[in-house]
Amino acid sequence: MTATFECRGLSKHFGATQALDGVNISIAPGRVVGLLGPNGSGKTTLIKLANGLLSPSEGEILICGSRPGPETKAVVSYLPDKTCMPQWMNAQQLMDFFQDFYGDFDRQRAEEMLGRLGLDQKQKLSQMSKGTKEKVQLIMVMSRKAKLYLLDEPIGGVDPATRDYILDTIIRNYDPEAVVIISTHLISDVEKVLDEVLFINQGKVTLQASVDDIRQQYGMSVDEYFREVFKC
Amino acid sequence: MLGKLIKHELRGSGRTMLPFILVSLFFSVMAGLSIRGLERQQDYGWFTVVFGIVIFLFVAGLMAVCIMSIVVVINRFRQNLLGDEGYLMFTLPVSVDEHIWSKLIVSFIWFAATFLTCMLAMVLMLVCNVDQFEVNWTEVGYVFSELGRALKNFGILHIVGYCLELLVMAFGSAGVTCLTFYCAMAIGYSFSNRKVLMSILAFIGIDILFTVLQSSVVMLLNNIPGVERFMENLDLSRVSAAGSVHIVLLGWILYLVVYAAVLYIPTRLLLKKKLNLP
Repeated sequence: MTATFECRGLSKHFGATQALDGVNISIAPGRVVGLLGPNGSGKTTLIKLANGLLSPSEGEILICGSRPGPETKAVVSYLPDKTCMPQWMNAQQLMDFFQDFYGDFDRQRAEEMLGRLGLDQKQKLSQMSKGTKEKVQLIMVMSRKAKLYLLDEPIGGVDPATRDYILDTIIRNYDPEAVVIISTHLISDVEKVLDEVLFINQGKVTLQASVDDIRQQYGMSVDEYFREVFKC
Repeated sequence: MLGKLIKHELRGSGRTMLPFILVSLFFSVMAGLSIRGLERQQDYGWFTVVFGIVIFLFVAGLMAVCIMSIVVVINRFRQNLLGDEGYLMFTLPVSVDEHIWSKLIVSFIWFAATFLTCMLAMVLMLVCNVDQFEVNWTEVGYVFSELGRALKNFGILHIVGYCLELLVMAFGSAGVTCLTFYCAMAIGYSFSNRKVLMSILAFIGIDILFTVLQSSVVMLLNNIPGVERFMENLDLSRVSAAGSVHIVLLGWILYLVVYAAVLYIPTRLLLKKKLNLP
């Protein structure tokens, strides 16, 4: 079976700074994976490479067997770690936009989620609070029936109630045949939804294991094990 | 996908451009009416102040439309592709070429709209200025029949050709202007810091580079043995006057295509390989 997400000897450097160093990863369909690592470990760089926002210095990254390009972007749903939706748009215009470009966008699902949020669909993003903007952005991303969801710090900088909403939205809406990669360092919050984890540090993947294996092998939660491994 | 990009780009930029266009057209009507009002006044008095303000607004409105057409070109590229929105735009299933072409086509549309707005504003001001605007259809018919006869004498194919060539030239000139900004911003925003400053420096650098390049090409051509002799031996007497205009226009188009290509290639390469989103 072709891996949904695969890296082969992937390296990326910015001048003298090595952001990723010979990364090898293979993730089969139907897994929810936590990309865990301290700040500056290379998580965002890896996600940007998968989205074609950066080009590898060495090695390659494959999405469903293809290098990032318009074809892979059609099957990847990406949530960046910042608000990237045009601020002048309202929720309806955003849905029009997503519907125009993504054949896998489920408008009905998006409308249902926006309805549950009690949001006025005519309200512009610029008039919304930061938390609401993030929720709207997440709704757009999770309303796609993508093969790969790349979620960069989806729960960073939001209150605990919003964190629960975000994680609930992710788990309720992703396609079971898809891969979900959640990049975060807030492990205790996401641990419950993960099947697998990837530890990344200083540009190198130091561990790829299932959550159950970590619990059995080390007798501790992923959060505790992470703290143990990355102890300063 | 290019059509969809153009549609959304028109929506995004139209929010800024359309109010300016409508306001400037409104002021042109007001200017025409105030001129008519001034002509009817016995004692000018306070009306001259109103007249002065309206004429100022009319001129300022037209200038604002022209300036905004350039500002929109720069700002849409910077904000939509190189700013936070770039995370959304560059993860759409479209190529970098489609992104650049959509921006170029929409910029051309706004340049054309700006030109038409200026023309329409003048016409509106004149029409509102006269008391009774009557069309003498006999005269209009005469003008058109004379125009038709002139076209027939000159050759309808030549005229159609000129129109197409001028349209391509207009698009090429607009494209070169936009691509100069795009290339400068693509260079400037590939740096980690001082992106705006680096873009301005890149813009100045591109301008100097092209001035030097153009001079060098002319000098080089002059010094290549045989080029001068070839030019002297060119027998242009066999080419009609209408044909020689085509040669000049096509030569200019070729120059614009080369100029645009030299700017397009690095812009595309930088957006594809050296994208540096914030």
